[in-house]
Amino acid sequence: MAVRTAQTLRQFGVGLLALVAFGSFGRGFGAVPSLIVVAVVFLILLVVIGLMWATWWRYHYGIVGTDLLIVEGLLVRKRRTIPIARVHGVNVRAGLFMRILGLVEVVVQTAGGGAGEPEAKIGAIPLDRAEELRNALLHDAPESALDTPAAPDPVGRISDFRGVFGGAEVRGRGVRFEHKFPFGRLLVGVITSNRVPIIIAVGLGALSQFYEIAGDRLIGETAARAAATALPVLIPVIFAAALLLVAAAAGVGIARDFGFVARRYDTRIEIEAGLLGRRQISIPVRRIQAVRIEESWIRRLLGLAAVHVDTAGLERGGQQGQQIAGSRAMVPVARADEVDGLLHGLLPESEVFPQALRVPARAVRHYLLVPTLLATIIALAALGPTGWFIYRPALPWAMAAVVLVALFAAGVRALEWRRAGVGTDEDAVVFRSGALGSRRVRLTRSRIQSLDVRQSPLQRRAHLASLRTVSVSGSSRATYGVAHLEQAEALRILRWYEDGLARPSRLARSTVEFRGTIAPVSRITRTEAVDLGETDLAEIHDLRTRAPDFFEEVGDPLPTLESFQADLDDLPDGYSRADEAIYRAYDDGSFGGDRVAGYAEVLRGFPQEGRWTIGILLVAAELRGAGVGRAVVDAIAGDARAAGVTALVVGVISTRERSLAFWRREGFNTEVRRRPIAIGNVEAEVVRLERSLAIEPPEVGGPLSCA
Amino acid sequence: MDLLGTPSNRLDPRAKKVWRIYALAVGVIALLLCAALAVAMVLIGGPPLTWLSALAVTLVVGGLWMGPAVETMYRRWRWEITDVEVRLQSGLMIVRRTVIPMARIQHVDTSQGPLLRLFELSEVHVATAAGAHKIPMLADSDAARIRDRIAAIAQVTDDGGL
Repeated sequence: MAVRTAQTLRQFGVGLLALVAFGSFGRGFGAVPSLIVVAVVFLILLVVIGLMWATWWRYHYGIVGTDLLIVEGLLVRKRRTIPIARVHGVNVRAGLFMRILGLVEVVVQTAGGGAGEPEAKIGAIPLDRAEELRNALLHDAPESALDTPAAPDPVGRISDFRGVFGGAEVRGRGVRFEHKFPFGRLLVGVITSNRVPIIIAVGLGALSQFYEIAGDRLIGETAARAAATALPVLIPVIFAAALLLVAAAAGVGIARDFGFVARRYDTRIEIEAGLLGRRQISIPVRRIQAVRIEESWIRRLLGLAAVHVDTAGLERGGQQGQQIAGSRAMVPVARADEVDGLLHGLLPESEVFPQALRVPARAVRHYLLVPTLLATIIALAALGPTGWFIYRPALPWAMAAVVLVALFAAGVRALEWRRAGVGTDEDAVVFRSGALGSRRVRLTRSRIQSLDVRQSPLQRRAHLASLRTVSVSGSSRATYGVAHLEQAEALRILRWYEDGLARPSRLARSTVEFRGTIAPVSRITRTEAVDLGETDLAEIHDLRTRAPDFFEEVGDPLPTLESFQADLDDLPDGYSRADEAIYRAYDDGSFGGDRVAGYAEVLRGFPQEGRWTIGILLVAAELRGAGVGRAVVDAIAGDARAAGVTALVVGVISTRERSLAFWRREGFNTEVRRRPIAIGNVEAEVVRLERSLAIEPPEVGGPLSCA
Repeated sequence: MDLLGTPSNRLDPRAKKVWRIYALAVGVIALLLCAALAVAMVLIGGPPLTWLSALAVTLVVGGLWMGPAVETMYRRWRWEITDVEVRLQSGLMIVRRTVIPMARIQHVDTSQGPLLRLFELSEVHVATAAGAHKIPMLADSDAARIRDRIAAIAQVTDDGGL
């Protein structure tokens, strides 16, 4: 398969340049005889055309066996072999000119890594050959060319990627879902996007430049004419001009997104769009790093939303060294209630967004403080001197302006506080942000490259922290996060992140030594129940008073020192304090001192020899969810293993749902038996759960198992 | 008062000296600028307040930096390498805790400039697909050990979630 008319395209490009050069030569170099100039230009043109032709002559591409082979180069031959298995996606692009000729440009994306460029560009090949190539590279069997009848209308023709003059469309098989975005919806989307204000701003800027160049006289004339024109005439004129600008902006946007189609194949999503220049981009699902549902304030009013995805670009850009765009629109605009359906069709792997819980109420102070202060200072610095030094009578106005700026900043931040939130589920985290608009970002845990938690002194005092994730976007990074979160929640998410990490299988997990995970624990001690002294008892009793909900949950009275002692002695027949051990976890001082953060009672040899029962595990209320419970259980499991114990047992009252969830997470998922118990007027059960120590807990699934 | 759950290892104690040397260098430049400002003011007869206050600020900031700031930064800087992650903690005013899973680490390097070489210290750079993290100022042998350990563990894993 040979490249046919790549040279024609380049010829035209060069020809244009030559014409421009010719033109400028003609004007500037009047002294030089024009004949010589013409001859020189002609010579240059000839050489360039010759080079172009030679490049085309020496460029070959084709599929040989299981590889794509590209051989090119004039003097230095360059040979690229790309195994088809490493091809992730194929993008097809064509500008208007190329489409008229029925040609397209194909960009092959490979897995990259190691030497060599991650993209291979094959320019200007006929459309049908391009589609054959694409199908071969992506293992799509071509459907019969007669399957889809040609669209009757010329507009449909243009949007069908077949060039203005038509041609057979060859579409790959294996489309699982397809959505064509209606023109009206796209138009509204373009108008409400941020393109329009940008283009208007650019237009105004250009206008002002024009006036500067034109000079004062023209400004004066225009001003005079404007002043002379009656108001009823002037206003519609201005209105019409504004409308024209908006229409121009919309036109540009629509030309880019015309006939937007999103398709889902087995392992990739394909996006096709464009009016004059059409493009077809493939996004391998594996490369999607984050999914964003965005609703700007305009779009919220209209009930619309957009979905963007961050993709992992390949290494440093294509052959031209350009930065790979990280963020693409998968759904440029849709009705807010359609988004779920579209996500289900296009990206079911990421369609479930965990519920985001709002940041705590007291965080609002922190949201407001710094930005408002900053805005006030800047406004003061900008307006103050003007009012003080330059134009004193304007001072009150300047001060009023400063106050307004401060109020505005505070208002925006208050809205941001209201919107801010974060949530996690089994596989993913979602961040919610925005002021008037709304944005939700979903990141699968395995796509988060690193995570950090930050705390300033003010935040530390208020038990708040800020959280941030780092992920890949294009050839650089994207950071998403939430500020001023409940400290315990931030730590919980840190733990959630760590819990999902793949454990290298060849390194055994050691639980005997306290490994110092993120739990706020400085040490765990074990004391025999018979050795407990007054200070020990007082310490643990203090802890029990810091967890009153544990007792209220089951209708017990609040704990006292006596009831604690009684509990210690409340053992089954045949067992005494000699069989009991107490584990205590001490917090590392962050909460104001070397206090007991959690404790557990362990009865050895119950219910049978070779088993230990955890009678009670209690963590202080302010430290729940930070890993203290797990640290204690790990310590107990370590000691148990060392003592040759085969299983740990725990009895949980069925109404304690959070406890049940905790024990199940800790590997206590063998239910041994249930015993009915009455709590007040409620019929409940004591559920006995067991965790076997003989087998290692199952490995956490690796990141490749998630999208 | 550190963030909950502190990683266990500190930087090499010589880090404080290096930080102080950096601070000294910046301080010298700042003092030179103050001198230039003073000369300029004297020449144009401007108020001595400008360069006096600049000098005062430089001295105060410099003093604070050389003393308590470096101490606090050193005390705060912690790192830990476990089987599954690299945990870092640092920060002067804002304490930041970072977790980098082994599965996301693409490569790990050590580097040292001339000043660090003088003190036999190196930096360890841990790179993920989305950028690198740095553990500064470790003894050469420690840095090499960490680098080898991370390289060995990180090899066992996949393509970094990409």
